[in-house]
Amino acid sequence: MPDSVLAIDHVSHSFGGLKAVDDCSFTVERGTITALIGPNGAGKTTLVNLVSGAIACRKGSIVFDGHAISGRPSYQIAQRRLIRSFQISRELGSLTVLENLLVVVPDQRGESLFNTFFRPKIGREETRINVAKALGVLETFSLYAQRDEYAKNLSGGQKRLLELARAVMAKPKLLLLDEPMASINPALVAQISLHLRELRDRGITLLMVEHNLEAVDELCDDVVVMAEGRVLARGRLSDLRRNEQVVRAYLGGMLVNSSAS
Amino acid sequence: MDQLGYYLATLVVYFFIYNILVWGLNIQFGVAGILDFTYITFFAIGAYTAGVLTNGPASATNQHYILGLNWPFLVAMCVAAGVSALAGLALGGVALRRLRSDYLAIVMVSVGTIVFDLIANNPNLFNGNDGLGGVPSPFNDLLQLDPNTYLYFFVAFSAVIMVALGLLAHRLTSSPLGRSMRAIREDLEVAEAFGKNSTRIRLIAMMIGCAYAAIGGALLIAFISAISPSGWLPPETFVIFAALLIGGRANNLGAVIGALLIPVVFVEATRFLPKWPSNPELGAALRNMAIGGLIIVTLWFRPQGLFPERRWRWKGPLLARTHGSPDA
Repeated sequence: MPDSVLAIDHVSHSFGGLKAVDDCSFTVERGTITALIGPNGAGKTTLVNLVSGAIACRKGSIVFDGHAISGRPSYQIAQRRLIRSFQISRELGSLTVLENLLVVVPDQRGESLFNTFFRPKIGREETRINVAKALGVLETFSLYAQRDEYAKNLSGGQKRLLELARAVMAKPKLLLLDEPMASINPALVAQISLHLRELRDRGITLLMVEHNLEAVDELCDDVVVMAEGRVLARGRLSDLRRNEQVVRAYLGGMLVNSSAS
Repeated sequence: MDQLGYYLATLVVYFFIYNILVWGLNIQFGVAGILDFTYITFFAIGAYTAGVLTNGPASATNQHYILGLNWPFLVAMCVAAGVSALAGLALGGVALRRLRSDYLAIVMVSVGTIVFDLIANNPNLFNGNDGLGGVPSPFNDLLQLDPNTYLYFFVAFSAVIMVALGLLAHRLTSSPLGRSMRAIREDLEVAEAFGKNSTRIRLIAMMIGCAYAAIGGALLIAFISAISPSGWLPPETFVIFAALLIGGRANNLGAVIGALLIPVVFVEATRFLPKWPSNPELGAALRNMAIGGLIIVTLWFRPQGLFPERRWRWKGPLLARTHGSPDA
């Protein structure tokens, strides 16, 4: 029996007169990597924003891990361990790489006002434990040497890795990735693919918006195609390549390329 | 007693008070990124609250003010800090919840102006434009010191409070809570996307900063036993901003240097320079121009300030690399 961790049900959202997401429904199964593809302007990022609470969802319902999260503020959704990354890397620039990881650890007791002023030892102890974890994550993501560097000084590719490392540090149940492979070189694509598969194997569910179909083909168990705010089709990418609607809306030339190769 | 010693001791107390003020603004602006353009209002709230709590009933004087409870100073100071923090909560609750920093700054300035006019033009609240006076010197009913000796006592007393507040400020800035505040300053949406309730955390920063401002105000009114609206004109906020920007944002040591440099050397020490008889306002005007110029020069050539925010480095154990370094 499929066990869905995320259920999006009849969700719509308009910006002024523009219907960005139009009666969109689909589910994401636990422990899978699901891709969300579609042409530019299909409403993918808006949907990510609706699910993560960056935009309040007013029409339709979103259920995450048994809890209705539609319309909840983003920090509450994140506290339920639905964590997102951003299409354009948004590192916390004047925090160090290590701090970027430390800050996102959920449920820190050292963050309470009382502990801050009167029991600073709790925060220090917690930090010691979190640093040990964070250093391990940084090593995995090849950022260990950069740990004390300001995040703003990283290269574009390193920032993509940091984005992912930070999301991992937040102990997600579901990871929403908005184009994790945008504008990075092929070697890094392979590295990130490897990381994503590893996360899936650790039981983290991933929903990723991605245009790199080669990577999608290789990684994703399930592909949802959006166009004009609606879900057009769903299935394995190899099947979708034979779906005429999908080809017309999105795949187009790419289908020709990959079938030629 | 020699005049120089008296003068220097006075400057030192001013330095301590400004130190507290700059630390408070540092928590709000330097650490949490809140553009509190009406910081001086919270200083005034603290001063007036401490004043009317430690003063006797107004009927005994020829002033008009509320309360007049003859409370001991330390209690009054704590209440003043609480009142100011609540005022910060009220203002922040409205302004921080929805507004972006530029609109927030405008709201802050407007509220500051309203409060200023309210206090200056309503003589029944805190004696209006004439200002609140006759505030007793803390502990001197017990100590019975002569004014000169008392001055040195006050230096020590304000030093103790300053050191305590400095320690608390350090605990905050080096804590996980301080790190979350900096994360919110860097990118509020990202912090929220990782589960930080930015409104709550910014309100905490706001309230702590307001409490610092109020303690500074309480110390000042206890020291000079009076305050009037001319002592906390809205532009005074920018003197404290100048100290913070020039000393270094988000660095408690930078705040100390800034407090020494701008409010103490520039404003207080130059107050005692000879005046031009033809234009008595010239000195103050030149001083403000110099401070404005210094802000511009700092932001242009050294935007991080004299003592920039310290980079946090982990000094504890690193990874034990037993299985060799992984290939990238």
